[in-house]
Amino acid sequence: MIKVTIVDDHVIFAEGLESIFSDAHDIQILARCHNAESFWEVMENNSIDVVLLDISLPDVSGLNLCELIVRKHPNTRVIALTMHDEPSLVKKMIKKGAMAYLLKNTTKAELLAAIRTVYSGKKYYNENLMQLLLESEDKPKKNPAMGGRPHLTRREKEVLELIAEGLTTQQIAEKLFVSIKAVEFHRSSLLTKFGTQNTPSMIKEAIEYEFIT
Amino acid sequence: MNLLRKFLSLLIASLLFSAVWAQTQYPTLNDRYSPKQIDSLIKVFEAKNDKKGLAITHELKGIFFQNIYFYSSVTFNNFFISSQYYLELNDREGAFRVKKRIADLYSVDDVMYTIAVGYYKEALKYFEQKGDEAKIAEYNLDLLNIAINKDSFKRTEKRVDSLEQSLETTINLCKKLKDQRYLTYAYNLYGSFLLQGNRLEKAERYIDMSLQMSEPKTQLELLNLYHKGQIKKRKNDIPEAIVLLRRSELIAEIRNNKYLMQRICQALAECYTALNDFPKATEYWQKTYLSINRYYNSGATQLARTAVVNSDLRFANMQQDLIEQKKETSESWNYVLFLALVLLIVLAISIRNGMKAKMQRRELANQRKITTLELQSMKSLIDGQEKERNRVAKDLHDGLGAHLSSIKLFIENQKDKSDPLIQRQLLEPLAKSIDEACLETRNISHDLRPFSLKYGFNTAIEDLVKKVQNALPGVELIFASYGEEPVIREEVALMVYRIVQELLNNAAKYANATQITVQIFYETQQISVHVEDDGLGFDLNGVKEGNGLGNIRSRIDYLGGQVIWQAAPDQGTAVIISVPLQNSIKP
Repeated sequence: MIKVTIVDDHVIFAEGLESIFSDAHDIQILARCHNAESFWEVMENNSIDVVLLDISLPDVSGLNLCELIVRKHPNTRVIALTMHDEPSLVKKMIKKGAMAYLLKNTTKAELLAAIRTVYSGKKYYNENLMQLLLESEDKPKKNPAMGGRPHLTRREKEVLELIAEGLTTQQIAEKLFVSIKAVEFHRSSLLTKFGTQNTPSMIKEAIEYEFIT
Repeated sequence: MNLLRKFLSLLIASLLFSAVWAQTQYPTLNDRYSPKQIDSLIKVFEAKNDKKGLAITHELKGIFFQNIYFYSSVTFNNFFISSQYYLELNDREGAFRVKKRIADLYSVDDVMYTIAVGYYKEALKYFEQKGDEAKIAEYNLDLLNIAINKDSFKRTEKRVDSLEQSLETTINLCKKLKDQRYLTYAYNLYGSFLLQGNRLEKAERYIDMSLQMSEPKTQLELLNLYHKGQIKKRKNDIPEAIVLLRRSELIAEIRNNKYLMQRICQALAECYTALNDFPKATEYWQKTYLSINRYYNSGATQLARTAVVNSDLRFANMQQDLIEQKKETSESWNYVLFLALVLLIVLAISIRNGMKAKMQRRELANQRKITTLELQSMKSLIDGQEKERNRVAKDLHDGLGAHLSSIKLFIENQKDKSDPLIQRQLLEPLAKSIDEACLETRNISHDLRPFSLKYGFNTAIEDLVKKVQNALPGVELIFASYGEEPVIREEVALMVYRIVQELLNNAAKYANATQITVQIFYETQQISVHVEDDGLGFDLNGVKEGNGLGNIRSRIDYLGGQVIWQAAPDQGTAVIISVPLQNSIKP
């Protein structure tokens, strides 16, 4: 029997959720808690296998609660069940130790599958979540100090080429029909992107990366 | 003696107390109270948790502060609170009345008036359903006023036609209602609309009708005299125009209407210039500057945009330069050499003085730009707007969202138990459309209140870019940030976030781009954000600062930052904004 606790401050939703499991014989709902405090009361007297946890709670943030549960009770698995779909939040919740992340309009089948998978000690990532996590993996932060070819926008390329031709800021501005201030901004962002302090070494880098031929 | 005094003060106190007690049976909006009295009433109602009392007293407090300060955060806060209570009481008309007060204040402002339009339209819809014709006329007049006086640069032929149509409908409605005041106002609006379209004969007819109907020394008489003066001026009947404008000048003086005063003086100065009466013209140009100054220094219009000041000053300067040029050409020919010489000397001096005055004016304009009062009222406007958005977002997300997910759960629960036909034909499509509703709710709420701003500016912008990417699969969105992100003050982060949101929206909507790049540079002195697309671009010279752009500009001005636009047809658009860090980081 999988012992499940629901932590959600919306009474109607929590009740509806409980009724979903009425015909799942391997799942037992231990309690519905409407805040973190009442959850800890339940936790004290029971061993809970799976927690269905909302992120917006009245007393504490679901993120912090998740972290605490995982730290204090490593055998209790947390499934985030929330209305929030912000990618940053999903990643944060996974980082804090949630084994699955479901949106509240999920299906019954997915809910059951998630609980059973998590109970067996495995993570449950659905397709959307997988894609999101993959996306953030294959795009490492572009840090100029780490090297690597920087990404330049079209306007930055234009300015770079004219700098390499030896034009002054004033001349570049006139040539591109933009303000001097704009050219200065582009020059400073180019320096940042190439990780250099001065124009000559920037041009050297640019030639190495074949921005200028 | 002492005893008598004590007795008397006791008597007065008890009288006052009983007076307050008697009035707790709800004050009316016509009552006049001192702020102290209002505050004590609010306390009484708060103690009793009497929502109706609270709604009325907060409305009264808002009105009181509006009468004194026009724009102030106290006014807005009280109106917002009051409308909230009316809504809770389910008194929609009360809520609309208070919201109209807010909207009437917004409608003066060059940025916020679009919000006013929203409020008016919402109320109009309600009263149309109810069939309350007086209210329909009133709100239509408010909307027309904005359409004619604020949105005039958005005119297209089609819009002009529909505007004229709705003006005519509203006039008919006012006639039917036999409300003299509305009808006078409606005729005036129609006249001023016709004047804008240069249809002078018809305009004059309507302005005349409105003028005959308006009570002496009222705002409407003032407007009508001014408009009629403008008509005469356009018809080149300058002497008549001057007579009318001088009459309106007198009323503007009495009514202390600085905004119109400035327009009237400008028109008069132009008239005198046309008559070659240069001393008078100069006198009125000076008066124009003066009333521009007074208008912007007056407590009533602290928040009027600096942009308007600058453009008006520029225009006034230009006109003065023109007069000086005219002076030079028309007069120097007619005088003997000697006089010309004298004139030249005088001119040199006056130009020198003029330049000095110009510099002083410029300095003044700059000073005004940073007047703390102006910034404060700007802040209270933005704060109010954000508060309202936050509230709506929360209601949507936590209220509607939770209900939708409960319904979804219910359907999920029924699915296995029902027969396959019902499942396929009813429950599955239902579940699908609820999923869509959930998604929509999340998107709207996220637009209104960027939740991930809690976890930092960079995170929030990254989420925003992903969101736009999801909505635009055909466009490649690139996000990159450079440097260490400082802990930015929430207020600043939210404003910059709104700007980036607006820029991304513009790029997504109009640019037809294949690639949009968002870059953030965290530097020691400033944060700069670059939003660049490779789309259609536009002609920078051909664009008037519409709403989006104006919004960006005013927020950047408030933050003391700068914004640089680079765009040309078919060259894409690149916008750089930068905000100084010294006031923006959390201590």
